Amino acid sequence: MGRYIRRRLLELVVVFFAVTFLIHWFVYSLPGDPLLTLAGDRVVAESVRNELSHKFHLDRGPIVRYLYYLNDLIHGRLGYDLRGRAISDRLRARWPITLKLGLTAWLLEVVLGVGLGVVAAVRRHRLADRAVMLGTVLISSVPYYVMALGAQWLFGMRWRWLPISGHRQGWPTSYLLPAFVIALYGLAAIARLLRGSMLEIDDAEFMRSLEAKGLARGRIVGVHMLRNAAVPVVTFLAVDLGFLIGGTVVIEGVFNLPGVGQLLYGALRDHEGPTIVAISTVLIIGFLVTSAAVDILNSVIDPRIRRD
Amino acid sequence: MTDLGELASVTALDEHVGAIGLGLWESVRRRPLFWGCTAVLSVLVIIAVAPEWFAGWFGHGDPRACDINLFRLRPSSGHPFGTDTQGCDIWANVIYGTRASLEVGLIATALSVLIAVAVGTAAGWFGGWVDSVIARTTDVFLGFPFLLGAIVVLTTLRSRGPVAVGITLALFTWPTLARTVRGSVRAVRDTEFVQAARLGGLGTTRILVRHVLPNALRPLIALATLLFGGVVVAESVLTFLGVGLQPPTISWGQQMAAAQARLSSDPHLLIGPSIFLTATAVSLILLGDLLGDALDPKGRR
Repeated sequence: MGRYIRRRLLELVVVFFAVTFLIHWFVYSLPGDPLLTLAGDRVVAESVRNELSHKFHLDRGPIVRYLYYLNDLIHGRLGYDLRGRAISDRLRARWPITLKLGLTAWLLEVVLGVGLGVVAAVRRHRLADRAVMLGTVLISSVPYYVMALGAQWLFGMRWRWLPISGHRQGWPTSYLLPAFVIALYGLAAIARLLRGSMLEIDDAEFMRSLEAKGLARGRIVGVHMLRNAAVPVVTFLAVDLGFLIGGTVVIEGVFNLPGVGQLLYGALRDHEGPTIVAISTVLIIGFLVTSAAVDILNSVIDPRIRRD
Repeated sequence: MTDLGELASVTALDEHVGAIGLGLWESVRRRPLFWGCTAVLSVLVIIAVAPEWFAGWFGHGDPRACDINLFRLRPSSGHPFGTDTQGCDIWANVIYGTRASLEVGLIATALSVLIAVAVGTAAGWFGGWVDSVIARTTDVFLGFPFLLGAIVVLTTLRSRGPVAVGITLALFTWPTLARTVRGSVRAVRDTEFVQAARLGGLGTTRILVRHVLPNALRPLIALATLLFGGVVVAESVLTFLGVGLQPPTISWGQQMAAAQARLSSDPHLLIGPSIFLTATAVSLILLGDLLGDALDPKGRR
């Protein structure tokens, strides 16, 4: 137990250093003036450039530069945008909105995904199963933003059910449509995954004995099958958090929700290089930490993982 | 993965490299869905190779010949998808956009498969420290959520054509494939027919090329097809966000980004590119799914 956790944490630390080093190397150490590259076609005043050069420690050698960057990162300092504003300050008020959106989407996808997966598994090879399987493939082939624009048009403009921009109406009204669009992708994957692992368990020996024992079908499915089939789904839910956060970039942008993703969306449009890199880095680190946390959680739930 | 050795030993009885397709063809050829996807993809490939044959169907074949007086026309005769904000024919632009999407998909998938086969085979065949080093490297690249990693790299590039975007996407897609190759190479490595080949005095290269790879590549067919679909979608998202393909490349992502601001008044701007993009992605992903089912002996029941 302790050994597995130690090993996983060590892995997290190693991957953290490697990932931050790679990002830093890509952005700040490739040939050319990184600030000019990050600014793209924007004009940056000479005085601002000098100040930013100093703030990003670009006047130092590459290794020292990385260490400074790492030190800043660990202390939550994310650097400055091209106008010299601290990026971490700009992010602070935006986190709650992104978290609210992400968790709402997560909740929706768990409930709907598990529901659809169980229905598909129980009605295997019948109409409901085929509909779920085909529907989920179709959903996962439509890009995020097409789905978002389509949902805005249908639910917001045509039917006028839900607001399509901003968060003036608060949680949940303003969050429902964007969260649902994000959740569609996760629920497609959850439903397929759950169906697959439930069918596999259906073939297991212990299912025969449960049936022979005369246990009701509902209890077999609800308690024994679902619990055993849950492990891959739990793993997926963690990995999905990363995609979910990546998805908030597009969704918050399209739905104009002033979260972290929307700042990144705006920065991408404005070629605000330092902001793009800073926010992506934070989100990537968030993803690394969650996947480690879930791996550890999984090893607590399912002891077999530890022996791996 | 446990079924893989079993699967491998069955197909490996056939000495030919062509054994990759054995059984697979038999099980997919009766599925109408397979033929549907293949037909759609074939048409798209022809469009990508020779867009000029299709663009002029409705009389406005040049995507860059625009008449600003005819801006944002609804779908009408001569403009089946309407015209965009600059008065350009959307049909012609959508047709010319096919090439960029497929090009990025092809470059990223081919590169990913190449790296994955080389790296995965080395890890699976040699094991030991080679395996450990490769495993840690894949961990690092899997640490990046796909889109965010690509955003960071693409932000630092000044010009982004299909090749640059394709290579960037491959950078973050090879690790998953490499893990699969490693797993199947390991499974095949310990089978009896490979041991027999070794005892028979065949060289490592020969064993790898003739016996191990054909079997290890089987599961890759389905994955690579799925990956192709995923890459096409990812490229359009990146382009939509403004870090993907740039003009002069004509791409669906740019057309949709331009359409977004006009959604409330002119939703038709979105229809053309989204139909093509979705058709491409859906056929690739359905096809990948189908191949995966056919390759998995459990799915054949």
